[in-house]
Amino acid sequence: MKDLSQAEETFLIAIWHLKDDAYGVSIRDRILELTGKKYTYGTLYGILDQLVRRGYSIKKEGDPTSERGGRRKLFYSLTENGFLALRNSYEVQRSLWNGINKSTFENGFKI
Amino acid sequence: MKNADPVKPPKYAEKIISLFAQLHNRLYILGDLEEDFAAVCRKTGVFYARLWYRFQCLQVFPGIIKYKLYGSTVMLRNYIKIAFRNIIRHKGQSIINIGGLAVGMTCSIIILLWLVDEVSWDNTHENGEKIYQAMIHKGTGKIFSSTSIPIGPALKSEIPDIEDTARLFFNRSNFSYKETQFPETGAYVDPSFFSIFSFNFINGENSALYRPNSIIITKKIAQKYFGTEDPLNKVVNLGGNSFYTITGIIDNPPSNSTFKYNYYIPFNVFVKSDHDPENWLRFQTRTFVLLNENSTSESVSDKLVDFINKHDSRGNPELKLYPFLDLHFSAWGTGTKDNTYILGFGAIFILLLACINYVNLTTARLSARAKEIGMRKITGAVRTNLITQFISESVVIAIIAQGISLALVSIALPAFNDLTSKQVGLWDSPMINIWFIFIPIIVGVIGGFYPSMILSSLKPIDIIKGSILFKSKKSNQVYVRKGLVIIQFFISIIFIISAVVINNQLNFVLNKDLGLNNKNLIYMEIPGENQSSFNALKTELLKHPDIMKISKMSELPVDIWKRRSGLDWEGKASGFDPGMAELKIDIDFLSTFEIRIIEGRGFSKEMGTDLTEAYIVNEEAVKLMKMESPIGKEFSCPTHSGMRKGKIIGVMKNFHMSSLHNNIEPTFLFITNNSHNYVCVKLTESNDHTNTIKIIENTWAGIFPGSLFKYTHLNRLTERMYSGEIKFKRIFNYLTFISIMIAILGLYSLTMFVINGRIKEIGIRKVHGASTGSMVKLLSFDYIKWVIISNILALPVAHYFMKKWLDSFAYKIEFGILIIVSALFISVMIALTAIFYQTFKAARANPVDTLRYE
Repeated sequence: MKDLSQAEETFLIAIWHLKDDAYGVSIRDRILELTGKKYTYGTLYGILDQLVRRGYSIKKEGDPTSERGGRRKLFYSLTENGFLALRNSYEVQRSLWNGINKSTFENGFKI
Repeated sequence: MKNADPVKPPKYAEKIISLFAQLHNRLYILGDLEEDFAAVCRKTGVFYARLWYRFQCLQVFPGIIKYKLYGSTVMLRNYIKIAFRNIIRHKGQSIINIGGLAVGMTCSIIILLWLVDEVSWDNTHENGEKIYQAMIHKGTGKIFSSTSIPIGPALKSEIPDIEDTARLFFNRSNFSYKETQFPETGAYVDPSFFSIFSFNFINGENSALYRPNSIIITKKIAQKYFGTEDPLNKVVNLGGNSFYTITGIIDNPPSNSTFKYNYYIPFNVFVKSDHDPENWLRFQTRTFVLLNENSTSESVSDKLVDFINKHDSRGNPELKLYPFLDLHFSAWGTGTKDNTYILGFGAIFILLLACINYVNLTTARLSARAKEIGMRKITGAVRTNLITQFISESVVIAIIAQGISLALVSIALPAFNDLTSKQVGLWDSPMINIWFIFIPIIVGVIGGFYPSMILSSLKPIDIIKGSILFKSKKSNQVYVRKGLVIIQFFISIIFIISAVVINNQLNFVLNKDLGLNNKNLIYMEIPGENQSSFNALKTELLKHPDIMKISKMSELPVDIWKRRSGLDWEGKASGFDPGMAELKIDIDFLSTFEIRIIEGRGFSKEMGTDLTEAYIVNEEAVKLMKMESPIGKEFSCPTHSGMRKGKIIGVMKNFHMSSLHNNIEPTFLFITNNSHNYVCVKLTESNDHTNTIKIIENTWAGIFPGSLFKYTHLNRLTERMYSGEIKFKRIFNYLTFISIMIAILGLYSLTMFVINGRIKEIGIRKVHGASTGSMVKLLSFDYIKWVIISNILALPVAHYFMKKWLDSFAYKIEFGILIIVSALFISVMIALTAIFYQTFKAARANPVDTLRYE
């Protein structure tokens, strides 16, 4: 099982959070909330395409709305593979950061 | 308050994004942005929202471009991979293909370098545009590139438009420092020379020559005589008795420089040694002029007319200024525009040939790629994709060929430099080097265009059926390919015809009877003017049985430069002052060269007046002077001791007194005691004169001690006079050879293709009783026909180019039937060799094998 890259992980979690409502604008906003990182639409869709290519997500077209000047939304949702990848990532993270918490950092940098 | 019409984002920004984001995500991105726009609108109002949108526009790009580029390279990477695989899979064909292209590119690159060198001649001089050389026009249209000594300084002081002048006079002396001594070539120049022309000083400054008895040397001389020592301020010896202090060292002159002298000494020294430096009528030195920034040669020309009339108007001379930068290609320079054009076209033609070959060979591999093309089309490739694929393949091949050719050029360049006495380097000019990136791309696209069109047009159904070989399109193809081969032969035949002409003309020129006997003669330069030393030399040498005659003269008779004006003769119209070629000689001159006297007599020892009053003129001179019976008529010529009055005692048969580029000019000879520069010795007929020459050398050393003995065979001089043409001929022969090779390659591949297609036909014919011989005839006749047609087409083109080249010679061969026929013969022979093996093999093939699967 290949590891998820940082960006992929972030995106998948955002998509997971958003459940049915994960499309361009909402994903971008959620990522901004979660990590404080700003992604432009160009890179955003690039990474989303990569996720689809890898099989962690699928995309589905929505209905056109007048708000979008008559254009459709493109919804992304998590697949089972994506879910498994996230779980794997979580476990790796957990074992990596095991035993370390906030207070460890508050004690300052000592060898 | 929001109106019923929702506010739209700026239209132009939208258009730009949609242009660039031609991904499948375009609409979604636009939709997302519009949502955001609405949100921002609610927050900050329309105006700032529009600004925000435009800003977003910019931000979107990097991401899009990054993924778009990556995405669209995916296919390219596949194409390149397949291209390499194909090259490796058909090694033999690929080598021929790439090799042919590489050879063509090598030729073109070398010639390109040569052209750049020629065209950029003398461009290192900053003031180049404002530098002119002063030349004197005589009334008869004769132009002298030498001017008199006082003109230079006078021009500078009297004409305000002229900022500075510098004079130059050639010098050749024995250059020595401590024990090292060699003859070197250099020049006397005014110190201002180095401010008018730009030289790179390694040591010292460009005011270096202002010091008396200073000398400026090149880096080459510095290394030759001083090694690692610093030459600055050391003293060297020129010609045995003049000492100079080195005040400056300049970089070696680049290959495209007119001034290739090894050292420069102050012009004053020359002036001091001249016996009549104020004479305005002796044309000896070159004068260069630097105009002011605001002046042009037109603005000065009127002032020049007054100027020359004020100083010396005898013979109505006109002083004109010629742009320095144009000199190289003029009659006084070493370059010829004709040769440059011809070689330039030659290079383009050869590259064309190589490209045509490439096209032929690629389309011949049609059947091999058929399956792949079919599969690609079935799995969804559009024709554009296939075209892109094949063009990229040919670009890959072109790049490989380019790499090989750059290596080949590096190898061949030293030989080429020797051949043309230049020093061009492959990486000399970055401007040209940038082209090395573009050339393979251009060649690849052009060369790959036609094959890719053909290959991409195959229909999958035909491929599966296996019937690609029998499509009607094939005959179209054959026409195109035949056309290409005709073009190849057309080009090669132009080369062949031209080569035949050039070689013949050069043979003619080198072997033509010059009107005098120049065999078994050697010449040396005389150091100093010593009549008694010469007499001693003469008596000593004539004792030897192998030495027949000795004579001394002002110039060598086959290459006379001196033109004398201010002549007078009986019946001359006043105001008529043409120049004639002048040669000062001694009494043995005529017999040494076996010059024929057709009227009157030669110089005779018995007649004392022959030494002081006699003139001998040639037939051209008689024509010029319009004399019916010239013997006995008065003739006089100006010398530095006044007019030498005399009579014409004889008329000599015309001989070629300069290169065969020029017509024979009126020439006159008279005997003098001094003013001679050369000694010629006539030896007995022999193949090997080394012994005799040793004897001469020893005697010479005894009589002229301290001077280096350097001799040359007179018939070598003729070679030297045409060295430029000889080099040109050699280069051209190489080019012709290469073009023939490429054309053979092309014809070979074409026959391979056609014969493969006709193999069944041959089988059927043989079954019906045709003989092998008639098969060979059948197959080859087509090609012979095309070769003859190419010959006919090529003739006018070759004729045009060669006529221009031949016209630079006053004496030339005729472009006649013989040339045409020999070129035809050569080309047919070449074609036959190319196709013979294959036609023969095909004609002999056993019908059983070829018709087996019918």
